[in-house]
Parts: sequence; C-alpha cells; structure tokens
Amino acid sequence: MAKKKKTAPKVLRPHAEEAYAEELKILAANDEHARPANWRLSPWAVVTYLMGGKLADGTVIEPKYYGNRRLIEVAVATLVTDRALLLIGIPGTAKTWVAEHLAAAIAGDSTLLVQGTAGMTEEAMRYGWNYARLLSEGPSEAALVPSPILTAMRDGKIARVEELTRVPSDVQDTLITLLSEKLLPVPELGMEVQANRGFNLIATANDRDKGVNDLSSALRRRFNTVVMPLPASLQEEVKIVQTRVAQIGRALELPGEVAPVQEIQRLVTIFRELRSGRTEDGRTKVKSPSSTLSTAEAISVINSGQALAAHFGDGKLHANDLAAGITGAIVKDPVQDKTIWLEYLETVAKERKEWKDLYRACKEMLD
Amino acid sequence: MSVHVFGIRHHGPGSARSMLQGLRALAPDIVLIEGPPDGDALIPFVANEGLKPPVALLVYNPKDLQEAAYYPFASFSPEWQAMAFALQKNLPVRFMDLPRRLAFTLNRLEKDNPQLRILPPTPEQDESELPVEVKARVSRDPFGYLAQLAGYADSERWWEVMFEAQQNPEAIFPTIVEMIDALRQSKGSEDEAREQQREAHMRQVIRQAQKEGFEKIAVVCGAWHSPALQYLDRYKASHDKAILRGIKKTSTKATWVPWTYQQLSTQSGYAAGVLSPAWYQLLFHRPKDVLIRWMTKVARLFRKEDLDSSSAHVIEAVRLAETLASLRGLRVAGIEEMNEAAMTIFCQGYQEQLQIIEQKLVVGDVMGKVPPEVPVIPLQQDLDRQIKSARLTKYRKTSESLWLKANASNPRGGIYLREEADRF
Repeated sequence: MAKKKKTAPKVLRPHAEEAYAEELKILAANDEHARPANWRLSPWAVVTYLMGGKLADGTVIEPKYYGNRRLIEVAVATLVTDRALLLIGIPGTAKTWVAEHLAAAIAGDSTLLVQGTAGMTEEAMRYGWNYARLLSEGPSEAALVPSPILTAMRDGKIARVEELTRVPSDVQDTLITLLSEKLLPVPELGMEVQANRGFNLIATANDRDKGVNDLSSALRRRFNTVVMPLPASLQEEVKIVQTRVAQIGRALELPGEVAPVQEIQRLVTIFRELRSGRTEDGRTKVKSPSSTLSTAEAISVINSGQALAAHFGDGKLHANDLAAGITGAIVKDPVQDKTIWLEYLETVAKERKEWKDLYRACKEMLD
Repeated sequence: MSVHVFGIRHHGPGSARSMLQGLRALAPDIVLIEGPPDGDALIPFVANEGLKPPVALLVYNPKDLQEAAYYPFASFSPEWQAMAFALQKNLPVRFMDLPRRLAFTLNRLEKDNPQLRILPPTPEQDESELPVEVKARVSRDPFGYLAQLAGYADSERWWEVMFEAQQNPEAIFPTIVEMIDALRQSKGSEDEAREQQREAHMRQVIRQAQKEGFEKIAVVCGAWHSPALQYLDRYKASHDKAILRGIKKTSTKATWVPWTYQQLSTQSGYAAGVLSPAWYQLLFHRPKDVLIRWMTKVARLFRKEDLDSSSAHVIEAVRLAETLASLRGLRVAGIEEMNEAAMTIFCQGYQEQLQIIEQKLVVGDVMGKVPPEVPVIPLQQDLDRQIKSARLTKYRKTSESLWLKANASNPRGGIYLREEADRF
C-alpha cells in the first residue's frame, strides 16, 4: 500500500500524543498486560514507550528517554500506586519531557498543564470564576472555570504542574489536601469534587534556581521523588544530542547536512569537562562557570550552528558556526565566566591537536 | 542403601529452609557436609550455646601459619543448619571435602611447579561453551547464574519463587541435580584438577559410609558438585583412588574463630547480586512479612541518624516495592526493588542519604562469639590476654565509632597525636 505523503504540520511543536500517535496505537493494540483503571496502556507498555524496544510483531518503538531504565520504572510504579510523582533535577535533564510523555502514554492527554510562576494565585490550581455569569446568575456550577487539575480530577487523567518550587508557598499548600484526600472542596457552592480513578499528578522542580520556595515537608511527603540525573557517560550524552538534533532538524525542516559526529563529540566534551571541573582523563582541574551546561543546551547550540551553516555558510557544520553558540552558552556572567572560558581555551583546548580550528574560532569570538 | 544429595547455595537461606524440610522428611542416619575433615572434631561445638554465628572454622598448619583456610558459617547457612540438625537428632555427622592436610601440600607443589595445574582450554575451542570468566562465576554460584537468566537480580528471591511454593517438596533436590547436570555439561568438561580431586574425595567418603552400613545417607554440598556425587556409578572407585594417590600429608590444626557479616559479604564472589547477610538473616528467621520488617528497619535506622521517617513512609515504601516488582514481572520484591523504594520515599530520590545507612542495613554490623571451651590458637590467646590487661574488652565490637566517642573523662573523644599522653 503506497504511503500518503505526510503534509508538514502547521504547528511548531505538536503534543506528544499527536506526534507519536502511531506508536501509542500499536502499543495499545499489542498490550496484553493488565491496565489500571482509566489508563490507556499497561505500566509495562508505558515503560516500553518511554525507553524504546521491539514489540512481538516486529515494530520498533523509538526511545524517548535515554538513561537508566530503572528510574522510569520507579516513576511509572509511583503513578500506579496513586502517589504523586515529583521529578527533580538541574535544568535540562528531561524532566518536562518525561512528564509530558508519561501523561501522553497513560492518559492520552498531556495538555492538562499548570505552569508554576512566582506570581501564581490559588485560582490557577483550583478553579476560577466566569465573572459575567457569576454576577448575572449568582454562584452556580456553570459559572465555575475549572483549572487543569480540576479537569483531570473529573476525567480521571494526569495533571502536570511545572516548576513547583517557583510557586508561592501558600499556593503550593493547596496541593496538600488535594493529594492526600484526592478531593477539592468548593465552599462557595457547598460541594466538593472527588477525583475519579486514573487521576494523578506529575510535578517538576528545579533544585538550582534563585527564588526557590522549597516544598514544605508535609507537601514533600505527598510525593515520590525521582531525581533525574545528567547523562552518566560521554557516549550516552553524544547519542542523546545526536538523536535530538536529527529529530528537531527534521521537524523544523532545517536545510543542510546532518551534523558530523566529531563536532558533537567535541562540544559535549567541552560541556562535560566544564561541568565536572576536570578533564575527561582526570588529569587537569578546570574551573566551572556559572552556567548550567546541560544536554538541552548542547542540543540548542548544535541546532543554531546548523541553521547558521545552512543559511549563511556552505551547508556543512564547521567550528566557526559553533563558536558563537558555545560562547553564548558558557559565558552567562560577562566577567567571571569569560575568564574561566579563556583559561579553559588556553590550557585545555590549545593543547589538543584536533581542536585547532575550534580554538581559533572561539578565541576570535572573545576578542 | 540410598544416597540423597542436597545441592545447596552456600549461605543461602532459601536453600537452608528447603534442605531442613527435606532432611526432616528423609530422617537420614548419617549426614555428610561439604567441609574440611580436619575440623570433624569441632562439629559438636555447634550445639554449644556459646558458639554464636557468624563464625568460621579455621584450619591451619601449626608449623607454617601462612598456610591457613577459613570456612565461614552464618546462622542461615545450610551447612550450619545441617550440623545443628544432625547434632539435635544424635546422628553421626562428618565433613567430606578434600582435607586441608592434602590441599596445603598440593598448593605448595603448584606454587613450585606451575605446570602441574591443568589450565582451562583456550576460548576458541568451542563457541557453545560459556566464556572463561563466566564459567568461574557459574561454578561458584550456579543459582545466581540461573536467577540472572530468569531476570531476578536477587537469587534468593528467585529460589523462593521457584522452589518454596512447591506442592511437591521431595522433588526439589532431585530436580536441582538434573538442572546442574545439564549446566555442567554445557559448561564443558571439568578442567580444574583441584575440583576433580575434591569431588573424588567426597565420593570416597560417601562410599566409606555405604561400606559402614548406613542406610539413608544425606549429603549436603554446593549445588555445583551435586551431579558428581549423586551419580556415583559414573565414576569408578579405582579412578578416584588414583587421583588422590601419593599426596603427602601436612599436619593441621582446627579451631573456631568469630567472623563478621562484613567479611561474609565481601568474600562471597557470587554471580548474582552481592551477598547481603542482614537481608538473608531476615529471609531465614522471619520469612513472613519480609518487606514490612525490612522497611521498618530502614525507618528505625534513619531515625537513629536524626532523619525523619514515619510509619506512613514505611507503608508507602512497601507498596512501591511491591508495585515495582510486579511491573518488572517478578513475583516477589528483591533487594534491588527495596533499595529503590527506600531511596525514593525515605531519601527523596537522593542516593547519598541512603548510603549513610546502607552498610548497617544491607550488610549488618554483626560479629559472632566463640565460647572459651574451644581450643584457641596461641596468637589468639596472647591477644586476649593483652586486651584483658589493657581493660579494652568492652570495645570488642565491629564498629569503630564507639572508640572515638567523647565521654566525661575524655571530652574530645578519640586519640589526638599531638598530646603526649596519647602517644605512649
């Protein structure tokens, strides 16, 4: 059967359940394990969806998360036991990514999202009011504007809260009763909304930001915490960057060739060495800059380098295409980080014979 | 006249339980155990209240103290339980392994002439055989290898699932003999000279017991050796005699010494998972509600370290461990699932917090005791005398943190080498 040519999506970034609709359908069809109430897939299928694998009929499921399988199993097991899940880690360790895909796989809907901000009020977590209706008809259920969490409770789906630690403490605490009793009282109407089976909450938090409101211990206890680590080895990180760059390149239809592996390896090596404070062979000590050189940053540096090469260069990714991106990613504090980066270039990058072009390009950027 | 071979996993609580069940059903009239015959005279001490495991049988050459071997036992070790059973029923019980008085001589000969040791065949001979490093691990712990193949990182839990829920307990050990027989044949021919000698001697002891007229002979040995001992007809008595002929005897002495769970865990060399003595102790002595007892222990250890842990944590951790196990397709949660659940719930996902108590939790801070009636080596006697005269007997524990604690007379605690008084 001839395949229909797929029309390019108009949307910049489709939801996970739309982008991977095929895979989810095949998984659901081949899934023989028991499913908890209101779940689209069984826990085993959810883990396979995230980690990748081969099904009985030969279909290959792409891995969405590259890392420790046991971590994802703990996360899924948490959601099965109707405890809330908290994903914690430094920026760029795939917390939001994993939360989105978990919601897509389990409930088929990753849109029930509350974005935590520093100025958030209770209404975003619980419910708001349609004031026009409220004034004309008085308090009634029709005048209630449910928050995504309330909708998730009613429909038995997964609610997501991003950046829980940015939310002010008094608003955070509205979650306590919600999570322990699984009910939301609406005192104005004299009623309460009880969560239907299948409801759960995935929250993400950074542990490195300024202006962070730590969770109270009562709230902490309502969550099972999973710490998302940075990639353990150089090869793992290179693989992640390579795969994601290829995926994003396809989605954005970036012209030009695929980024060569050596460039990615050099970039990832630089980021890892600056992050850990010493060179890969462990011999030289290196100062760490204030920026968080996460995997996500590496991916965006390569992407912008590719765009630069495609539109302003010869289509092939070279060191001078990357230089601007690297400098931008590393030098966030103009005084301290610049000195650190310069020192790194002189002591480490200059010594490596294969890095001459990168060294020269980055030096030029700084002058 | 029948020979019943119980192929066990060394220090495996599952093996110990199944073996005891089998021994009680069989009611043998003699028990033969894999161990050094040099220590036969010390077996009766096992019934002594003062000998508290973990302890080790020390066999040494009094003329050259470098030549020494330790045979450790914990309360959950099948060999220990077999000895206790035999003594309780007043049955004769003997060790049957290659005696150290012969093994020490062979070691000396091998050191002087390395070519005497038959080397394993080169790897390219047969692709169907297992690689060399795997072979060594498999012979030391065949159950660990089988458990790994079945997806269980924790081989004691695999044993529980495979064998302990059986309707037909008499079939367990004959099945094991067949399983290991198949494993041995796929591993390749027995190429270790020392292993052949050990098994030859064990067969000799069994044949001797048969000659003495015992009707039901119970044999307790590591599972790897079980086919070589069950199928006696495969090996000729004259062949065994020939292998052991002409080895000069070294004089040896034996005694009991205290041992620790720490030493037991680091010397295990098991294929699947690290041996965790505290976990095995729980599995053997309190098999019901294992998860709950374990998590309660975790909570108590954290409270000792001033970290909040409530009963609610324990409940949630037990639920998470059970769910993890079912997600992974395991029938029971093993030590890995429990560690992950403890880390997620008690330690908020951070590995470092769990490491504070990991040693005490998983290995256990236990040292055995030896009663004064046991004959003691001169070095030990001298040390005991010195400890007594320096009034340090109360410090005889495994954890050094006690020694460095501050008290009223020594508010700083410990030793400060800049002080004259601490430098005697």
